[in-house]
Amino acid sequence: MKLWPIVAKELKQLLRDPRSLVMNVLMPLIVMVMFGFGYGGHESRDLPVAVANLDPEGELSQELIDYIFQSPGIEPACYVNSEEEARALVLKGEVYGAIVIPEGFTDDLKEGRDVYVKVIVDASQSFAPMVITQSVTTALYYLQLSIAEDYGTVSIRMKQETVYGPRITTMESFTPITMGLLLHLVPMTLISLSICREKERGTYEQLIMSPISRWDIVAGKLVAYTAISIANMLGTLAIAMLAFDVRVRGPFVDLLLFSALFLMCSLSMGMLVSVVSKNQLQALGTSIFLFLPSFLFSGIISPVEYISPIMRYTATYTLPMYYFLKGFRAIMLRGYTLADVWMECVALSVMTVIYFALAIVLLRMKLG
Amino acid sequence: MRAIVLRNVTKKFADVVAVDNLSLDVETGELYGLLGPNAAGKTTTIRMICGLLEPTKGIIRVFNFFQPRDRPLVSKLIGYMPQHFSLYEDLTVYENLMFYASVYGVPYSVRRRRVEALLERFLLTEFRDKLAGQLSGGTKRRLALATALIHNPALVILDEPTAGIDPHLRFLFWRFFEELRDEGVTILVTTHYMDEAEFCERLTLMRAGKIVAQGTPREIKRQALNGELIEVVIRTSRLPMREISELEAVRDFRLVERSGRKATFVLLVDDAEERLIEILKGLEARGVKVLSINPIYVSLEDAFLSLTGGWD
Repeated sequence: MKLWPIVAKELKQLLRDPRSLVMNVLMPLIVMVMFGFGYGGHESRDLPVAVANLDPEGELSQELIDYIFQSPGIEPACYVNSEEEARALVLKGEVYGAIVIPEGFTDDLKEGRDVYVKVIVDASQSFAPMVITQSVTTALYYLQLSIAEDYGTVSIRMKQETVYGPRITTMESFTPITMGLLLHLVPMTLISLSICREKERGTYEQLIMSPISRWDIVAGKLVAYTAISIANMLGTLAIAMLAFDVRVRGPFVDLLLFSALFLMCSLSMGMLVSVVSKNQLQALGTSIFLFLPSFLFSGIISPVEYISPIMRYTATYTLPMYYFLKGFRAIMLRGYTLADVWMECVALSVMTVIYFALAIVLLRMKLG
Repeated sequence: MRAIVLRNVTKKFADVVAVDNLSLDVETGELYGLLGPNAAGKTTTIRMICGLLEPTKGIIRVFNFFQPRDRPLVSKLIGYMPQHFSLYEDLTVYENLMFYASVYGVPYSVRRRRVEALLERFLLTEFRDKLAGQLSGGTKRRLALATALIHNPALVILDEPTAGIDPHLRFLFWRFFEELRDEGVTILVTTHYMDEAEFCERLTLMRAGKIVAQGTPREIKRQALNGELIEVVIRTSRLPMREISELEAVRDFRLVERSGRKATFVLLVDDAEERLIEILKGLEARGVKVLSINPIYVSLEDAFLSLTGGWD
């Protein structure tokens, strides 16, 4: 067993190669800092909308507008005097939506006639229509409560209870995704180059001529890259927690162990890529190609229930990213322990063993 | 026991035949040369002997182990220096040697001492802590040779160890090889420098994957010319054609120069050194005045050219 000489050699090379240092250590840290500045800290994130109040004198229309802009989510960008003007602004894309309060809104309400509030939204936006409709619906709910109180009629109230609260910031809810991307793409790409580089530089010929086994080569490289990547993972998490106040609700050690398992899985996957690739360029391309389905089908873009069953069974459930996000979210945001996410642990371990075993079997110990 | 045996070995890459029906034997303790121009199939042969390439046909044995099947068993016995520098350029000279010392299982207690001894022997001590990538071509070769010897192998296989380095270092390298041979190590070395091949005890001359000639350098030359040459200068007023042709040992002869009363002949015999005196006596007995008589030393290059009718 010649594992340790390989580990020592790989570590020396990794720490000496400026290219791999930048990619493996500096890049994730920079990404985390960028991410923190982008989503952490400020919490005002209101979408601009246009308001056409055609009942400017009515006190109830004014009350409704107050309710609408009380809660965070949308803010009035401009007031216009007709529905057409409001629609034109939405069509031009200057605002995400418009709210039209019709003429005689207050009088109609007071006389017991049905009224409506019109909401114009831009369906080409993925996120905004939902936010705007929700804000207006909430406001209408509060207005109805206040009218019901004035007239002494019955009303239905909603009571909200948040579990795993009190409040999860945007930064916190996006941290699992950022960690997932960093702990997957970076180590996988880096290690996928390792065997191809030996082949391209010609060092492979001398190496395989020595009495060394496939196991030594694959496991030795894996151990070295794991060590470097774990150091890096600690740095990235430290930035998130210390600089951007991300709180880990579960046991910190469990979070680290779970992340380390995912890291090993990413590295085994990258090793397999390296073993079957002919050169570094091909390895790089394959890594990125493998990364894309992880990004598209792991619940990052949408809940996995939105994904068609075919892709869910071929991509979502066969790629490690899905299990990582599920487990990491649970430990970090819900305060679960490693025992609570044992299913995800088993899934990641099985994948790691499969990729690792395949890499050993497929490694060619010959030239040509 | 023979160190290396090849029997009817052929290697094809797609449609190209790189090595064609090659057989050779390397005895234990021999300095054996594999000689030929580029694309003769030398590197392919070497890699098959190392077990790094699988032959298309034929049998390869190294110390009675079959290659490539037994490579894990036999690789400890082989020290290999590939044609292109194949050590880690981002490790230092010392680190490269220590890495291979540990990979080859050199015991920890002697590792350091072994490395220091090799550094000294191959004049690498001053480069000890330099990155291998920063070394000059000749120093890289010395490091590669030192690495090949790290585990005291019984067989050393060197692929073009002297290609592209200065003549002084080339000479030094051959002195190293001879020293190793004297220590009992078997050495197989490839080269395309014909003058270097004279250092080998036996060699195989290859071209385009095929054997051109095999044997000691002298045997190959004799084979090329169908004998050996003697140059004889005589003083005469008439050319002694009849007298020379009467000599039993002379298979053929040619007048190569005549100036005034001096004439130079080249005679073809089976063994120049053995026949020299006999011919001298024969000529003098026939009244021919011999001014000088010498064996002609033919270079391997001449022999190769005459055997193949040119390099291409």
